[in-house]
Amino acid sequence: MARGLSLYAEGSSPLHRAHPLTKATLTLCAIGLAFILPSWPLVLGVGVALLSLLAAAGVLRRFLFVAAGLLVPITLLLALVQSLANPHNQTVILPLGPLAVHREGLYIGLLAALRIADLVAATFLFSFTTRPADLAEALMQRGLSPRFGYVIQSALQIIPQSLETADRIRDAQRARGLETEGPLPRRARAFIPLLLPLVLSALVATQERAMALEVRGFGLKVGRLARYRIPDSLGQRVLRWGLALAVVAALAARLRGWL
Amino acid sequence: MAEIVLRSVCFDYSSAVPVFREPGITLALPQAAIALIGENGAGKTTLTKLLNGLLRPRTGSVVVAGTPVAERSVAQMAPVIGYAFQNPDDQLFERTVRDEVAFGPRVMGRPRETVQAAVDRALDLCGLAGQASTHPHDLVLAERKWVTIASALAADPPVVVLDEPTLGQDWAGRERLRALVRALGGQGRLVLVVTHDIDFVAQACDWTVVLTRGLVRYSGRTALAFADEGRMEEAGLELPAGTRLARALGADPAPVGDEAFAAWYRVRPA
Repeated sequence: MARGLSLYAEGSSPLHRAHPLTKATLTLCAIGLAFILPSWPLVLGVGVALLSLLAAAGVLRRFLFVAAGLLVPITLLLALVQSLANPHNQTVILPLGPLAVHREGLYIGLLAALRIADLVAATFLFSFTTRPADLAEALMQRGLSPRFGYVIQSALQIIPQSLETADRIRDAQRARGLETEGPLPRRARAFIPLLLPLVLSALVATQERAMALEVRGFGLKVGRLARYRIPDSLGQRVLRWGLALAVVAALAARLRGWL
Repeated sequence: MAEIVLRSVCFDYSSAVPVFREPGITLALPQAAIALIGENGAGKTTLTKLLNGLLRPRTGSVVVAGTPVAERSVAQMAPVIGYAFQNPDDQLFERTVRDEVAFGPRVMGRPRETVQAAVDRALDLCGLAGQASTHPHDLVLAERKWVTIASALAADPPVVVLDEPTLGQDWAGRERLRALVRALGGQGRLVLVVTHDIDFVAQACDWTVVLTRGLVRYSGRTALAFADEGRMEEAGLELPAGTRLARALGADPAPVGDEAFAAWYRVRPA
């Protein structure tokens, strides 16, 4: 079983089946709204919407598991720093010797943490439900140069492949008597025998990959056909435009001072 | 005395990918040149990785040259079992062939003079004596494979595993390999050759283990390994060329190996 860098979780929910661009738009717009909307109930609303989408895609539990480790420390740090040291701090709610926890800073810190939570949720929503290959394919079908498409795909593939190679190298060197576990000096000595074959094989692989692509006509300057078209629909197109308009509207409202 | 003993060894990569199911592999191998053959995915490489602890069995025990593998780390098994992997590029990193071959015995902490002598011997056996100061990556694949074989031999282990050593070898390389495998088997070592090259098995190995879908179908003298054509077919293996020819000429049982074929051919019934 190949270890993937991709977070994609197999599934058949409407979100899984949605066009990658729809999900990309959804993610970018949710992040945009989270940072444009000024008050916490609205930012929380974006978060609740994202959580219900994660639940609908069947990946809520997975998200909470990953997010807890990421968001709890960030929230604590932001709340602490802002409530102690924000220049707008006025109202003391908890004196701590020479320092004091302030209401204004606490609010700012928690709002910032909430926005970051929205950002993380939106990003994971995309990553959990979108196969990276589908995204690259969708972009190429929209006119992205195949070279860029290949760069995206290979970047995502090369890391899991390198991890596998690294495993094989580790096995080979341990079988020759190299201890790769234990105290730090011992592991430091193992560094070169483990790293050099990895770098060399990556260089060789790059050259072979380039030649394999060329002999299959990658560099031809002719139009390409897609093996399969990623399905799109009128509804999704409307949704994408609607989301984009919502962000523009929110931005305008914010700048006009209506929100 | 059996050099490798496996008792009821069960192993799976995950519950979805069982390799050796209950009741597990039980196998005793003598000091000899031994071929491990079987179709792709039969479990050959998995079996060899259980011998030095790269993989650990779910149940059962593995003893190699008197050493219980379960009690040792992979690196601690290295003096007992030398392993030449399929892809030399997964391990080559030194600037010269000599340093590369010396790496194993050096990390085992052996004295410099011992290492020097062992490296010279290994380079000689592998036909690399003239390439000692070449950069390993300046060699062609077949030669790089020889560097890994020399590396496995340099630590002077009682058991040697060669994974697909004949791949990419020309006739001279194959002959050298045949001589090497025969010589190691004759020195009271156990050399285990994982291969699909059935002619090589017939020429170089005294003992053959046939593995099919995670089961040992045969373990014994090579001369008798090919007697049961059904078993060979089930294992997805062809017969050695000489055996096939003799069979076509009506030999039953058909001889295995060039000398045996020649002997049979000289006195064959008209």
